[in-house]
Amino acid sequence: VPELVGASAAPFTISGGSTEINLEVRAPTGPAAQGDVEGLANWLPRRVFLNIENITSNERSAPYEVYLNVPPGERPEEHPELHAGSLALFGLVAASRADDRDSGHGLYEQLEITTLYPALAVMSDWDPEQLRISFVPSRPGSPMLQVGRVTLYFA
Amino acid sequence: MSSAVPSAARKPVLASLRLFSWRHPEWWSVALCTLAWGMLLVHGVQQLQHGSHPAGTFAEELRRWLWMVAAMMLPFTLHSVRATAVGSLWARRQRAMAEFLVGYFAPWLVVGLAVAALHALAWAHTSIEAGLCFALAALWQQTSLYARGLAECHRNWPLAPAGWKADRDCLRFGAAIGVACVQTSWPWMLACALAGHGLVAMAGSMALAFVERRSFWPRPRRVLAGTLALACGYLWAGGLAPVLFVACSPTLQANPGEVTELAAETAGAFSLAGITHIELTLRVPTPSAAGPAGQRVFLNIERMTSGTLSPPYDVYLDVPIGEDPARHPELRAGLVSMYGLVPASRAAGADAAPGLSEKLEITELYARLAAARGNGPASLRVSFVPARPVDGATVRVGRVSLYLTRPAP
Repeated sequence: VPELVGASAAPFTISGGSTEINLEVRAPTGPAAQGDVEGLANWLPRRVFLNIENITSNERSAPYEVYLNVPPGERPEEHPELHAGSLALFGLVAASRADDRDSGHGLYEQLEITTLYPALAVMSDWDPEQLRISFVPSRPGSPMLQVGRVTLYFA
Repeated sequence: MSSAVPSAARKPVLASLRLFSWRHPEWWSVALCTLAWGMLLVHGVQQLQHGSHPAGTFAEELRRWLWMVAAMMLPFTLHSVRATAVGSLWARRQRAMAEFLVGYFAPWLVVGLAVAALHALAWAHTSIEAGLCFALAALWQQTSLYARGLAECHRNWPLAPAGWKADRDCLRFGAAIGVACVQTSWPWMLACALAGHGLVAMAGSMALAFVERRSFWPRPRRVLAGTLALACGYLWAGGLAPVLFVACSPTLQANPGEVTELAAETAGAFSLAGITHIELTLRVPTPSAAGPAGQRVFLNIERMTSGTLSPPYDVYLDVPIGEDPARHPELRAGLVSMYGLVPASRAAGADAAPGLSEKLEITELYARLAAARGNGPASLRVSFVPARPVDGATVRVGRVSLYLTRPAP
């Protein structure tokens, strides 16, 4: 049973260039909690998912790459070991348009980061209560995207 | 010895229940829906026993409306309730679902206030209005607004993780889904309310909604056909059937030189098992005291059936509420003798039992009642009083109707 441990507080915009957000991570208290483990830093994940929800735009967009905990001031592309996955954004415009068949609430993308997430813990600036997420367009000139929410689930 | 087995079995049961509640956090919404259906079934059975749709108070109608929303609409909202729980932090999953439901019921409550007020109107208690509303639903289903509402019912909403923003977002998410559901389903729900929350109307509408929302492909033609069938059924029960009954019934057939007009009728069958009061709501135009020259007024008690002998019943009109009809001989309309009731209640071959029908002329009494009020009454209270103790005998009455006849111009 997956358990939500972090979510962005409000919708945000990806402005066509590289965009970074901070996600506050909380210790699981439900099925993902491990009784014999104290503190989020010692928590060993079974599976970890990063969801990017309600992605909308009026224009077609090239895919975006998602990176986690890129060191401040450095380019995400220089850290392939921190690459979480790609957002394909296929069907973005159609999913963003409200009509008789769709409510226009956008795309929903899920990235499994089970192997990447524990690797972040060995980095020097690891903060178990914060997760930095970088969105990087795969091609320059990508349009502006609206994102409803980013969530982190432990299972 | 006996305690060892239960304690061994208890753990897996508790673990299974816990796992079930984890996987299906919306379980108590299903329980609420089941409870609502139970309440409405009890109401429906009572309605069948009384054979009519009694108008309740404003509060009663509003309560029934909310039960109906819970019974009929919650099953189609469970995915959103679940999404609210799964999209919330574990500690506030139950609270998030409760807030979602508060938001969801808010727009339905606003509609419910209007419907409860509508029920106070005299004309909102017959099957004709329910049938017309189902016909309106068939038209509404063809509009773009309906389709958009249906698409909106499946939307999701980004929820803040904690704090007052999380509470606000859950309420807004519920309200958004509630508004979309109102936009989609209001004519069906209104029709069900006008049908007195009848089980046929509710079960039929629910089945149509399942066809519409649970099919892999949309089934608009099936939903349209089903809605039109409900419309025809209720229009038949409320309007067309009595007209044809008048045309076919030899006892009620008008003379060639007379014009006959149905002024009032009961919404359905009911039972006599002692002193019984019913209310007849007069249709427009309301018959006046004097009426046209030569006007006659008849009260028909139709299709009475019973398996046992029944004592005669005295019929009184407009006896004040709470008073004994026997103390008002001036309001006595006549006697229903019940002679030949049991033979008339037996089916003849493939034909249904014709039942016993009685016709009382109340021209003079009706004129007196109308004159006492200064105008034609809007409704007529009919009281049936057994001449002797009934000893458990129950008489089923198919319909009570009020007819006006006058010479043809």
